[in-house]
Amino acid sequence: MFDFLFTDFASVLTIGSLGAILFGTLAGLIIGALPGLGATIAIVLLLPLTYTMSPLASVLMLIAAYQGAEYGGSISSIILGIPGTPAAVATAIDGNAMARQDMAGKALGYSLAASTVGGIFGGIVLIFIAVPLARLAVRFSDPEFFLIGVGGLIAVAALSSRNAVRSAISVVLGLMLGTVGMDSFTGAQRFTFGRLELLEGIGMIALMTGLFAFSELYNIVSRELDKRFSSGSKKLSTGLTLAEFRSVFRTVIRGAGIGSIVGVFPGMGAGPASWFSYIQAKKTSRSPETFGKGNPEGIAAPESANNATVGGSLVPLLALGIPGSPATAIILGAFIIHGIQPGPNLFAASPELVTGVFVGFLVATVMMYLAGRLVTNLFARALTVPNSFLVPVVLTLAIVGIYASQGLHFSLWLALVVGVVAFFLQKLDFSLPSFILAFILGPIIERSLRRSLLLSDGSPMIFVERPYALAILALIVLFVVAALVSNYRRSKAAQAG
Amino acid sequence: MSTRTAAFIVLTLLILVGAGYLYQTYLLSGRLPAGQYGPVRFPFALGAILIVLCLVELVRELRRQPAAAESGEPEERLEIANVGKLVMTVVLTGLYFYLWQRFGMFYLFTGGFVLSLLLVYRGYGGPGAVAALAGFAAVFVLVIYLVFQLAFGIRLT
Repeated sequence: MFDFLFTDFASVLTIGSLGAILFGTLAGLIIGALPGLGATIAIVLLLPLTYTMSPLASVLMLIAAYQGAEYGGSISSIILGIPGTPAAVATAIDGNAMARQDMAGKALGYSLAASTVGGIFGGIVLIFIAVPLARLAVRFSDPEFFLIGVGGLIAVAALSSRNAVRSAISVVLGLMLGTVGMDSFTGAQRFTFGRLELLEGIGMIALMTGLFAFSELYNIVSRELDKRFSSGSKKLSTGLTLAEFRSVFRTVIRGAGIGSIVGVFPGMGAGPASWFSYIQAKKTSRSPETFGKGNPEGIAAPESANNATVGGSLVPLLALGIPGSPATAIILGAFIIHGIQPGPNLFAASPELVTGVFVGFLVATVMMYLAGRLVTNLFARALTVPNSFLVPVVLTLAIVGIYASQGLHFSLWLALVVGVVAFFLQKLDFSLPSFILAFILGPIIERSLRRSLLLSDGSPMIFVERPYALAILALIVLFVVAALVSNYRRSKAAQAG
Repeated sequence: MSTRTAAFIVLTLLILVGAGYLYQTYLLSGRLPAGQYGPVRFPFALGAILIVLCLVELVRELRRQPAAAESGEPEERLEIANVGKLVMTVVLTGLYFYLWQRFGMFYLFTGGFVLSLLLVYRGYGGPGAVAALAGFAAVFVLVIYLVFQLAFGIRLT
């Protein structure tokens, strides 16, 4: 089952792949460090570059950017007390408190060490869960994939917004957009309005860039354009002594466990994982009263968890071909660009690619640590770049990326419209993660549904007659019931309060 | 504008989108042979679900208003700061796309776009400041050329 552990790693990790990891790590670190930008934007901005790269190098560059951005987010949290991403909010509490005690370097040291251990832990979980899950998933057929897709959407819709109905509307809008283009069964053109640019569907890069990069930049223009941050003038050393590292080791491992498990589930991601880990660390700490005042465990717990989610979130993508978060949806895009469909068959069809991703993942984590040690100080200075310079630069890079992906001006207009619409929808509690996952999963869900019904001669009983399908259906029902009960209890508590 | 009014507008627009989507699906179904589960069933279901969900949310929003008024909660506002700069960003981006699409000359228009955004965001600070911003825009365009066109071989025209 784990034959890849005996692979000749030199044949997997070429100079090109290592260069891609280094580039992705540095890009992820700097983009993650900038307040307002995060892992998703880092990956979106790099995706167009993957067209000219090998499949393995492409995927590794994006994974490295994902890892790097999760650590990078802690830099602004600690130094400025401004979490750039939801995943770094918990880190800001104790990280910034420690920084204010003139120990910013030490706080970053705890963050870097915890992120590295969390990343490696997530990588190990990825390897040891993805392989058996893919083996199991080989036995799945269309009814199971249909149900997994639907289950993923339900989970994302339930967890990614305060308003469940608006989140569900976001899901339906994403599914609707996924139906644009030529129908793969009949060749019929759906909702193309005669435009050749839409024959292959809505461009994924244009849509994602508009949705995440453009809308976020509009948010910065609206809220924080005139802000200027100061990171201080002291040199920051991110080194830790062995005793310091040992003092948080248990917390780090516990956080890594929480993060890697949470990461596997669609719709959860790094934000909730870091909070679960922080709360758990506070509960089990010998000195819970020092949380919020610069306790190193309060930095190590969320940081190990948010990096561990990276490995966990790749499990459903690699083993089932189904992304559970916007970041992994973009990584799926890199596979698709190269004509590769992730999923159980990938393990048999391209074992060298899967091995390369596993090994490269661990290498990317180590490289994140080395880069963090060497360049955190430099990247902390990047925080002082005024947003009035940052917005034109990032916006132009995003535009160039969209054009580079397909060479179509149509994609640029699409991204502009999507960006403006997303900016407003977000303000009204519609869920962008639900939307994008529905867009990605829509074609998979429709294809599986139609094939299932063809197989069963139109009978929906096919979804309850097969044991695996029935088990997945039971899990979905269980999740829905749990969500409803939790909502009911919350509203009761709110009424009582 | 209150978030409630904005929600009403957006939900109404989404109902119209759902209706348009259903109409397009209906037109498509007329052009296809009758099949067991063809390319129109899924879109039909989606259009219908969208309309139902939007109606549900409209009703919820209507019921929320009296409850909020009774409890004396102030109406939540949809605040968008820096509207002028935001609109300028969108307009300049559209203008940049149009000029690039119409005349080509990517690098020239990109430099102009970056400079115009910098001027909108930072304001006119005299000829010296404008020259410095223009220098920044020129260097940035050069970096794009070096990274995308030379290093990655991506042709931008």
